[in-house]
Amino acid sequence: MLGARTLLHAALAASLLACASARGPEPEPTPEPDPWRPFNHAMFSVNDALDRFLVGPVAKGWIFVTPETVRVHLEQFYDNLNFPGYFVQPLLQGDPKQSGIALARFGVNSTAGLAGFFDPANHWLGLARRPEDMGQTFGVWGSGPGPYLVLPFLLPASSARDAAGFPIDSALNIGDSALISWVVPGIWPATLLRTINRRALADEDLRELREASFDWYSAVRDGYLQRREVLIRNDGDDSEEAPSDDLYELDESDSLPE
Amino acid sequence: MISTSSTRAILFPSSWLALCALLLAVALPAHADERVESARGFMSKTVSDVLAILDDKQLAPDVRLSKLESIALERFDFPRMALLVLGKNRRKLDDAQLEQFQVEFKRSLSNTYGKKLDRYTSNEKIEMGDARLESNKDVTVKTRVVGGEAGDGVSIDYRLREIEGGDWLIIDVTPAGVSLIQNFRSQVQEIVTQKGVGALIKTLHEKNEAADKQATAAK
Repeated sequence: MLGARTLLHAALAASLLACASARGPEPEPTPEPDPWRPFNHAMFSVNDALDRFLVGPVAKGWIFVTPETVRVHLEQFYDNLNFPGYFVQPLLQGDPKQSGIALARFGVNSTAGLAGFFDPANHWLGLARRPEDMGQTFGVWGSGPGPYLVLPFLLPASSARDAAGFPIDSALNIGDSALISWVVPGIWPATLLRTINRRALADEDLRELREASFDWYSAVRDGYLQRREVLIRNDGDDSEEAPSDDLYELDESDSLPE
Repeated sequence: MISTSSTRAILFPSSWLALCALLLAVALPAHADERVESARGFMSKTVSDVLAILDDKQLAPDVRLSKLESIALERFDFPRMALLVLGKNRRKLDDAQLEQFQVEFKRSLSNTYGKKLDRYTSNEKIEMGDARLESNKDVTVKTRVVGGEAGDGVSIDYRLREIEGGDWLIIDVTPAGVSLIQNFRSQVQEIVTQKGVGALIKTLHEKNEAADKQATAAK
């Protein structure tokens, strides 16, 4: 009996608490995501112009001369080179199992996958690709994104947290790294090809997103910040976490006109 | 004697309460499951309706597109979505502006969504995933588009709200973890803060006009 009552009380207390926290004082305001907006907006305009008039058109040329299959496998080759980052970061995040998966993927794809151009680790063994970087690890350690940050060429969309991880990513995520071509000068055509190929693969999505948005700058900013949260949670598509319910509640004064 | 009756007096209501709690505990999840299943049913019907149109090779492209758009118009709660996207900025709009915004927002979204669906190729498939009950009684239904060239596929979650009569309407779409409502809301916030409410409606309107012109030119 006592057990049942205690349980009941506990349940009541819990639901009261839940109500209290749901209806309590205004939740803490989330920090302004973009305090460096004037700078970011200027840099974004530079990047956007660069994309519209140079990188985009070149990528379109690349799309014209290559079948999609070639572009996909080329991307897989580069992604395979990111192995050091995909292996080290999960270790830092306390997820050695994922490091094991990254190691197995690299082993299988570098050999049976012909230097990474193919992805038998996913197709045959069901070991899906999971990109990792230093910013995600900072996030797992509890860091928020910090101020949003845009830098020309290097970081078209980033945040203080993710930019802080950039030097380490440049050393570990070799396939993604643009800096590697400064360290190994002869390699810059490979870096350039990667950039064009990636842009080509994203071409249709980019066009769709541009069409769907009515303020491109803030659409990219919010998309980046939301997407990074998903990557940090690492629950991929089994996400149990929805955006805050507040997002879906209207103020009482805003009732729907019938 | 006294002790027994007082024990009873205490026992009776509390056992009654316990019984209620037990009944609730049994009844609530069953009810919740029903709601989740009903929402999932709505979504899987929507998906199969969309696929039926996409698979119908007889349809002329513009008929196909307008059929897709009409599904979007029927299954999305556009007026509510427009208000959610406005959030606190709602108060800066008078009634006429609100109506204009809702018209343009609906036009923009059904247009985009119709075109997006129209681009699906026949080797892509939409898989139905799990559904979960949210704390405000909405239901989120997961779907997954697979079979594209890139292999991994992409998740698309739909947030549904129950309307009168036990039917459902979509109030948010979240591809790859990016909520459209949240994304549009930050765009609205940006334009309203930087340029004001007038610019918001004007921008949306011009964008829709341009999209329509492009569509007419394509025919």
